[in-house]
Amino acid sequence: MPALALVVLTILLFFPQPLRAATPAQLLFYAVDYPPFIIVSPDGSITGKDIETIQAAYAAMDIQVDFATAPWKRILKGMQHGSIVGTSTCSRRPEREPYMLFSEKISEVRQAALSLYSTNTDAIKELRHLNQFSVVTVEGWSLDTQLTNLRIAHARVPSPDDAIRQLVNNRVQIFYSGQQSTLFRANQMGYGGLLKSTPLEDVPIIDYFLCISKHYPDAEKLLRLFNQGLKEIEQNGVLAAILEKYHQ
Amino acid sequence: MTRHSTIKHSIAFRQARIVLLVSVLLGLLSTLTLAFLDLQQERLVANEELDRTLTLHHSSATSAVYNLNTELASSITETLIQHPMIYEASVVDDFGDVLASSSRPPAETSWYISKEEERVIHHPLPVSFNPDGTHSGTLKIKIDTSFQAKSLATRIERSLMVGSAYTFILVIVFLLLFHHYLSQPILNITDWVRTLDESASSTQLPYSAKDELGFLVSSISSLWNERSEATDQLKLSLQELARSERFSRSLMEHAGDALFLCKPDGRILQANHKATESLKYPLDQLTGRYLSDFSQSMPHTELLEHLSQSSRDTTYTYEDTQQDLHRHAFPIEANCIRISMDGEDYILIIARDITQRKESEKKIFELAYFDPLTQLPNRRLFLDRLKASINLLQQHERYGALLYLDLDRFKTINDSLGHGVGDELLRSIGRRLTNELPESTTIARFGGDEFAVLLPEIGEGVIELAAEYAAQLAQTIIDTLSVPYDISEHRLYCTVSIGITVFNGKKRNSLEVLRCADTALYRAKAAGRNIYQFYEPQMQTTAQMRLSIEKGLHQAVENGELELYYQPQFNRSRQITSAEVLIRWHHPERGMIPPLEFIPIAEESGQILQIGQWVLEQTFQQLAQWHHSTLPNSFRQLAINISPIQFMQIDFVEQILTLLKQYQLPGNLIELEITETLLLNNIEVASNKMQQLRKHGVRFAIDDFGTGYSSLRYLKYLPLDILKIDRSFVSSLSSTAEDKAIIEAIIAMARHLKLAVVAEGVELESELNQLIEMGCDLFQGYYFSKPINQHQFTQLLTSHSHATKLPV
Repeated sequence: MPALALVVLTILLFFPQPLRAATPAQLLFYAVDYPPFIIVSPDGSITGKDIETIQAAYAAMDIQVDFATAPWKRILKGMQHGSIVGTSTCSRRPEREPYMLFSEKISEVRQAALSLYSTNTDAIKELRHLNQFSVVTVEGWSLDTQLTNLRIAHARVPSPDDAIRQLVNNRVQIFYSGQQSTLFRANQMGYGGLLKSTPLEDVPIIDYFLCISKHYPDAEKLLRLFNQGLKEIEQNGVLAAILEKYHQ
Repeated sequence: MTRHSTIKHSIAFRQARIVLLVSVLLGLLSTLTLAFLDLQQERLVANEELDRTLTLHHSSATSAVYNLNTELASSITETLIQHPMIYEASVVDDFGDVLASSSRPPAETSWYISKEEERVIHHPLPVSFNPDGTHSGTLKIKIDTSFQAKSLATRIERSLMVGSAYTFILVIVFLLLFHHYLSQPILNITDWVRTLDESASSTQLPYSAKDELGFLVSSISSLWNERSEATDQLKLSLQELARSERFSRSLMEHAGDALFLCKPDGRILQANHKATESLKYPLDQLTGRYLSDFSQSMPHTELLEHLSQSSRDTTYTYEDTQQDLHRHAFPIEANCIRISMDGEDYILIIARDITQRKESEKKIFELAYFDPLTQLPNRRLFLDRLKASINLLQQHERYGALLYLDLDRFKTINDSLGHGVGDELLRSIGRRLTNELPESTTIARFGGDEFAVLLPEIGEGVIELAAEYAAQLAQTIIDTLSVPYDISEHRLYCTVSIGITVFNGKKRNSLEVLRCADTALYRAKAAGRNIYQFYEPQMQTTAQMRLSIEKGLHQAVENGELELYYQPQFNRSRQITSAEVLIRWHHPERGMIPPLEFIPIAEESGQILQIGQWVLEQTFQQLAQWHHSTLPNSFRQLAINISPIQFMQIDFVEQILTLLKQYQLPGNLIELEITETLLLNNIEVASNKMQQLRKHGVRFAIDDFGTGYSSLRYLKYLPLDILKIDRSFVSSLSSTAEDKAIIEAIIAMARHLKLAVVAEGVELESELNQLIEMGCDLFQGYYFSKPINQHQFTQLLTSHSHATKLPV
């Protein structure tokens, strides 16, 4: 019996492990509150359309995924340094290419000029027309860069909630942000009937992806597993159920 | 001393200077200590303040780092550098990147503030955002230490300035206080002390406070009063002492004698005027030298011996002869007394010039001991010397002689020609005696026409010789004085009678000796004057006989009064082997005189040389005749006695060799008999001569062997052939066992040394037989033949010559 046990132990130790078993069983992604894609509750729990999609996709690959919040700049810098695995709901941009891997599209968003219903936004057709208004956006977002590049004067706040509060309090006229997420958040904050969205013709729809730091260990593999899991939940109807849940 | 110097050396100034130094040092020390403590406190406060400042910004800085908010971070750093101690601040995120940084120029440094090493505080800002753990950003500030140092330096500067001012004021205050309360009172006291000697003791005191100075002043005052009386007393004593010293010095200088104050080792410390006058040396050349340096003959050790005998109680006196600078000598009498001063010993020598006294003493001595007419010793001195001579002879067992002279018929000359002529005659006689007699003799005039002559040591221990010498001298005196005197146009004839006594000091004292000579003198006077007479009758005979022999020997050789005799020697076979040559003197008046009577006299008078030479020539001549005619076969040699004086003649060897050649004789026919005494005294010379003659065959015999020292050493080293046993041993052969043993020993020894032995004095047949029995081979004596003359010996040789003649 001892001899048999020794042989079994040797086999267990030296035989190659299956691919799935080599990947981490649990991953922690960081995200910022960006309803409805990412919804951070006051109690700290994080849900949302993209959150659940990612968790379901990875769950299909037997990987548990958790989410935590952090400032957007910190998330990006952490990915640059490879200290965090990645984030959800991020757009693809050239400056992110050097350190990010982008998954298959998981959602999309339309950028719009959000304002109070009382604000006359008839003059706003294109993004440049925001110059005529006091604008705010969330610091560090790509929108911030976009406005800066277009030399549109704007204020920066740390979070969308701050921006919504500034709108409601008439501190600013326009909050340049994602249409869906802002209205979802305003509803949650009790300002559901106060805000309107003015579309911008020259601003394209932005696709959102799961972004993984290139410097994180086995990044390529994690990306591949996600794409594989996403395909699997598309096929088995899990994804459709999630989308349905948030369209309501 | 100048005023400036006075102030500089004042107590107040010195005290103030000390206060200044101490204050400065203590001030510096306290300032440095305070500065150090202040610095520590400053650092502590600064650190606490920095901690508070950093804590104040901790939260916002942490937020800035967490949110990577560069604006907020920049705001924080800008705020921080407003703080005077912070000149650079930066916020670094947990990724190591600088979020914001602000700085300003640090405070300027100066020569006394060096910039410290850069001081940086890293304040951690913990950031927690992932499950891997807590990361930290950092709030970094650089501290402007120059600011701290500048602040501290400013405080130190102020502290030093205040301290310096304080010290200066303190010193001034102390200077004034010291001057007022210490220096000025002391100066006053000093002036007061200076004037003490000039003023009366009732001078008002310069300081009356009840403190230390007051006590000092009162002590000085009371002490001064006490000492003042003592000083007055001392002055009086000193004056007395000076007077006494002058008195002593005056005494010393005016002393009639030379005074020397010396150390016990004789070194002169002080001398008076008389000393310099008598020695003619200046004082500085006397002091430091030894007193013995000025003595003519006294060694330093002898002087020290004299000085050591001086004492404090009594004066010790000695005499010496000093010599002055010009080598003039003069006698002194030195009185020494030992003096102690201050625990040291000195010796005072009082040297008195006793030249006059000595001359007087000499005159007295001469008057007492010398005859003023002839300058010869008088009776008293003569008796002293006689006494001394007797004492000396008692120790040495020798002989002396006293000759008592009395002029014959002097009274007639004195009476007829006057005392002047008589006195001159006496002086002439004194001069002749002095000139004629040996120096060792004492010639004295006893007064009138009596003289005495002392011969202190004569005769070499033999009384006969002494008598002969005395007789010879007496005869000389008679002959000398009998030569006519030419005095005051008068030719004077004077004869002298002499009484002689010979003494050895055993029995008689000086007066007895003198009386004996006087007795002998009267005997001479009675016997007809102009002669000498011995006190001892037999000595008269002996002396006359010896003189007669000595006188006769001079003529004996010339007159043919000497004749050779031969005593033959025989062997055991009674064959004649040799003969000893003996000498006989046919005195024209006394008949035959045996050699024992005249040979010793001849040896003492030196006539033995002439006689010895005559003997040698006669013997060689006779032997040459016999050698060519009648010598028997058994005959070996002719033995000739050689006197030591003759043997030691420088040309003795040459004489023998000349004779051998002259008479054509082989050396081995000659046997020279010498005595042990000769060998003992001159063994080296004797050995040399014997060796030379031995080369020519001459034989040597020791005569009278056994009676002298009989040193065996020369028997080994000298070329000897024959030992002649003395007749005294042979004649007592039958009666004394010891003599027999001696003869046996001599024979045994001679046999071992290969020497022949001749027994002398064989007179009996029994002696012959005993000698033969003991191993003796050759004999000489009356038993065989008495000494016979040449004619008889020739006959004896002829009678033995029936044997084969010796080859020529």
